Amino acid sequence: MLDVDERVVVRTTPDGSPLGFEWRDRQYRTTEAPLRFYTRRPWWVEQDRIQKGVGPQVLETETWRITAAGRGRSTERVFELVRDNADWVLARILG
Amino acid sequence: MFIHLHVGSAFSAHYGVDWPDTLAAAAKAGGADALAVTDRDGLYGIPKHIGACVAAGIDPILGVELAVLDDTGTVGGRVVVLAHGHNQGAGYAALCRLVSAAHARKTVAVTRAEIAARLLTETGPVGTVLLGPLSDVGLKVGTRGDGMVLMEQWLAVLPREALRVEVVSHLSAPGLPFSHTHATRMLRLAGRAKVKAVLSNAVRYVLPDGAITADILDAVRALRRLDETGVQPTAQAWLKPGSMMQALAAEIAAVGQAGAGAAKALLSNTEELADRCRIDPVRDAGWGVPVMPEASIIGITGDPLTVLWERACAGVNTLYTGAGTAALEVV
Repeated sequence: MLDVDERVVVRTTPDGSPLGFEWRDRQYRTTEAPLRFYTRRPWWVEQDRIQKGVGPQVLETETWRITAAGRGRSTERVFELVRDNADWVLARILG
Repeated sequence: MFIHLHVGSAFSAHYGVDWPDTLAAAAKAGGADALAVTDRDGLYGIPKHIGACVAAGIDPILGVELAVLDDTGTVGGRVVVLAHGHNQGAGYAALCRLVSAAHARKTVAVTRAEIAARLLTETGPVGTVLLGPLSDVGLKVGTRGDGMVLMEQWLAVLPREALRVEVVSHLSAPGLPFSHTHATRMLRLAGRAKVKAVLSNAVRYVLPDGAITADILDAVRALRRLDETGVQPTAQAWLKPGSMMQALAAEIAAVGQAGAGAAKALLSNTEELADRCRIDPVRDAGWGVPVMPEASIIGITGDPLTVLWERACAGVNTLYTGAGTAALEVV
């Protein structure tokens, strides 16, 4: 596993599922159905006050695990992309 | 239409977050025409739930979430038991007796045999058991074990028509309980065991924000600090509207490579079970019908009005002893 933690530009379907992304000047496209999951954030440490209705983004992190291959390459790798509203971060490469 | 069959209200002590009227109104707004309440260990929320559903114009569904003892007498997991409706209260009565049986123990729990004894009648089952992620089967499947052995123990006491696999995904990280992968393994087990699978969201709060309260309730229940107990794996146990639950079914089927038909079947099975469990507030639960205790229970054998008059006359003499004859005549 390789921790990356870099901002990337992600192309998605209209309902928000990633189709591919650009990282270090290389295009990657997903080769399998991506898997969405959430992990919790320690909101009682991070926040002094939480406004009513702020909800999910304070409470959990949205992560997409995708299998993708770089343009012109056939080897697939598994990436984890973290979404924060419109911003995406390539968090890590699993292998 | 999607109907939530597993919902803990604030009447689930230190577990559920929102009150029945809030839940019923949200269910109606989310496009449902029925809603279940399945509080932990008791039926405390049922009168408020029926009232809330009547007010919202939807059908109430009644159930309970109970711990189940395994063969060694320890708690193996928790299941939801739903009462069937439109049977002159037979389903609801079975639920009441089951809860009484659970509370007769030091640890509030029932055995599989007790569930079967209450649910099975000469005219068929009057309730259905949901084996979800927290059931013995679900816990086993969650640790990548084979749930089939435990499933067979359920099938030994209950017919397939009284048993459902409850598929739940709170979108937690792959491999964890309440993840898509856990849900797809449950779906696969249901297929192997030929037990129908239904979809639920194991609801604890009406809106995503409620997860904060649920986190705190978990810590309070454990009497520990939040960072000691660890919080729920995700904040997804809210009363999602029908459209989101339909999308979730499709996602689970896709991850499990179960085909488009699987999502459809999951949703139609859920609707079918919901229909079976719709409660007639009046005929099943006696809603709004005053009930007086039977006269014989309070020791009355003759005409109740005559007995009341006799007791009143006798009462005058004992209660007004110092009043004198003239005053007694007035009374």
